Amino acid sequence: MNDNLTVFNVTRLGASHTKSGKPCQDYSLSWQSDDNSVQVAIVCDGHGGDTYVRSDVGSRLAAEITLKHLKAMSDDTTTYAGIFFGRKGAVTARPTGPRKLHDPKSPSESEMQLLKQDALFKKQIAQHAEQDKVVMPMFKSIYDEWAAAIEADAKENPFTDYEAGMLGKNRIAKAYGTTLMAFMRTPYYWFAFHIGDGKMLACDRTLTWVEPVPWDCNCFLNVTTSLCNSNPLPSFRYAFDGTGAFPMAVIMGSDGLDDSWVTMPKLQHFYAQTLEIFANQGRDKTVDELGDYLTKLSATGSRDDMSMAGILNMDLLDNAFTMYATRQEGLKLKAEFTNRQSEMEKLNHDLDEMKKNLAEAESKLATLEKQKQDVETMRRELQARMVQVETKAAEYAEIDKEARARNAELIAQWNTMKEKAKRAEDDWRAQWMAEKGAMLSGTAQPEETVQPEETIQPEEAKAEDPAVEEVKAEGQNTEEQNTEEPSSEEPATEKPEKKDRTAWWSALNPWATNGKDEDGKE
Amino acid sequence: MSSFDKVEAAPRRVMTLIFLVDTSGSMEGEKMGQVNDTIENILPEIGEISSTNADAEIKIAVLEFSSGIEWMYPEPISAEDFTWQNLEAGGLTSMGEAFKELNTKLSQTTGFMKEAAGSFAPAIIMLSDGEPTQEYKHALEKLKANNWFKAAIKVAISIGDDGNKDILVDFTGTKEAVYTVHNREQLKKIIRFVSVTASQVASSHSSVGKEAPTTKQEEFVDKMNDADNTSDTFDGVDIGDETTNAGTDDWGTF
Repeated sequence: MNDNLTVFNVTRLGASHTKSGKPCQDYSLSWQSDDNSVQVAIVCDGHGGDTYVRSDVGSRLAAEITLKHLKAMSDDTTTYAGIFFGRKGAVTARPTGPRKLHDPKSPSESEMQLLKQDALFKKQIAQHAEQDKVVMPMFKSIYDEWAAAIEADAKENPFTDYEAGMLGKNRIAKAYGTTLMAFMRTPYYWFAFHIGDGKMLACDRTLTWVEPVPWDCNCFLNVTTSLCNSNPLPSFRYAFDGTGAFPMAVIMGSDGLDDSWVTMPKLQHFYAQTLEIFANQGRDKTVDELGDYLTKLSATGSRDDMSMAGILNMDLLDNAFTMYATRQEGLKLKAEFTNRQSEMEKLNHDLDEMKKNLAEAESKLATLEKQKQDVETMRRELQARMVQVETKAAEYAEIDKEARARNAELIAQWNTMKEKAKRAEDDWRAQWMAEKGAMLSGTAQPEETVQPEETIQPEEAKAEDPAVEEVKAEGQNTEEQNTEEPSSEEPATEKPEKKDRTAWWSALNPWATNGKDEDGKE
Repeated sequence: MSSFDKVEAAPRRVMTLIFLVDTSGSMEGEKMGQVNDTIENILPEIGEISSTNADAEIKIAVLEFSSGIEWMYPEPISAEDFTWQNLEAGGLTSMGEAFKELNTKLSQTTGFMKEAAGSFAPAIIMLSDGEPTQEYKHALEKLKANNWFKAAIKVAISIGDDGNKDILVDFTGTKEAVYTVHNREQLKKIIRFVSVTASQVASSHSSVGKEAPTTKQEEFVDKMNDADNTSDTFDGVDIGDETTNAGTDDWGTF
């Protein structure tokens, strides 16, 4: 049973390295034995930080040394085919000691992931101790050989001042830091291993993708395990299968690729599209175009170096895409459903916000309603008070009207009395003048003596006014006084008369006091 | 014409810029007003960085803490589409609750970081003018064990002399990422500069090893120190846990 198997590998310089002048630090290899029975694909990603001044060399050496060991492994059917045949399994990165947790009672999410990984390792190693005893020494050989190779490189090509400055006091291995992943297919089994980040994916005939080698949660964001770690061997993880379940395709990519595709489904879809292109136009043309595409992808994506390598069963590819297209349509529908769900959640959130706002508005409205009722009550009270005021105003108007009428009457009476009083005074003065004149001139009457008006007024008018009678009586008394007790030493003056008149005036006029008229004027 | 021309375009990764805003009663007045105005006004600039940056799309999330905690929106929103809602001050300072909630959201399973490969480490900017009114240490220790938090750029802005700078240093992990401002002009400048710089650094790609000497936080601090030496943005602003401009607080009338 000879499948039409092929291998490929493509590596391209990253856009950021083009700009900075750094070399391509990725390295990839693929190899197929002359009889087409063994295939190998390898990808190494040299680190990009400033310390890793020779990671391009480190990645190349790691790939070349690994290829050599895998070739030897495939040749050694006695050792390896025997322990893998009829079995399958995977072993993740191993713990190097007890985990230090911030709070053992309540580990964080990342601490929980590490604890779960440790537990998984214990379970896996218990099942695959036999394979582990053979595989780990091979990893140690690869590492030791790599360590020796980089030491030799450092001796043959001493660090420049710039390189030594960037490396600082770090170990030489730091200058050559790299990840490493490899997949080998033999007639009896497949074997894969990985240290560091990047993604290795394998698919079956339905283009369903899996990660054959367990992920290491020590690789997080741009932090990765590496061959340059002080103790890298526990970070090697691996998988094998000797049950005949060979994947239709295996593709591995450096982290520049999975960083560009962002999500695992999108990366898988890209790999599926790549396989379709392989199926349609064959290996060589596809590899050429893939190289150009990775350069473009780096410019628009992660800007990192890009490497892809894989092993493909070309016989199976042709039939895979009809089923894949159907599944993609289903996935699209699912994605649309998820989007709708997301929109629904957003709408529900908006609805909740609106409900909250409505509740607040209703609460404010209730407060306003209460205030409105209070205002209405106040308005009714005000109206009642206005009615009271209007009633009172009407009463006051009536009283005012009566008062004004009475006042008019009193003023009329007052004017009458004033007129009478004036006449009485004039009479009195005329009489006084006459008497005094007679006294001064004997019997002779002064010329142009004015007769008192009293003499021409009807008797009834005089009798009607008691004040006039009083004035008259007073005048008579004065006359009698003056008549009976005339005194040349103390002649009568105006002062006592004025005083008497003022009192009399006040008695007659209730509105005028202290010599002021009703307007308060002198 | 290449067959790969038919391949759909690769999406961009996401960097989430998280504002942790103290909205306790002491923030009322000029402080809260300035925080609202400034962040609202820098959003277009962050949106511009997001739209022109090939490495990552920038999304924004805002967590306010006072007597309780509340996200402005339930999920991070693209900077270009983000609409700022004015925050109101009042209540206590539940910083511990904020740390706990942040830890929950910095998660692949329960939070904003659903795709590790698709997410850059976030940039987290905390603004506070006081001290926690509740126990916070346990929540902060747990947050510090979170891988996303460890990888994040963390910055703290103490608004005035009364902010507890020891806590802010503990939060950021370095004195050099704690800034104390004393008036609204300084607050405006520092929010803008920190937000823009953190967005630029956090949303750019770099690849380093496990024991690499340079982190995003260190890269951010380097950029801020360079700016301190070459511009007047930091005039009157205290950097670190000491207050050399003590007593110069001027927040106007409340």
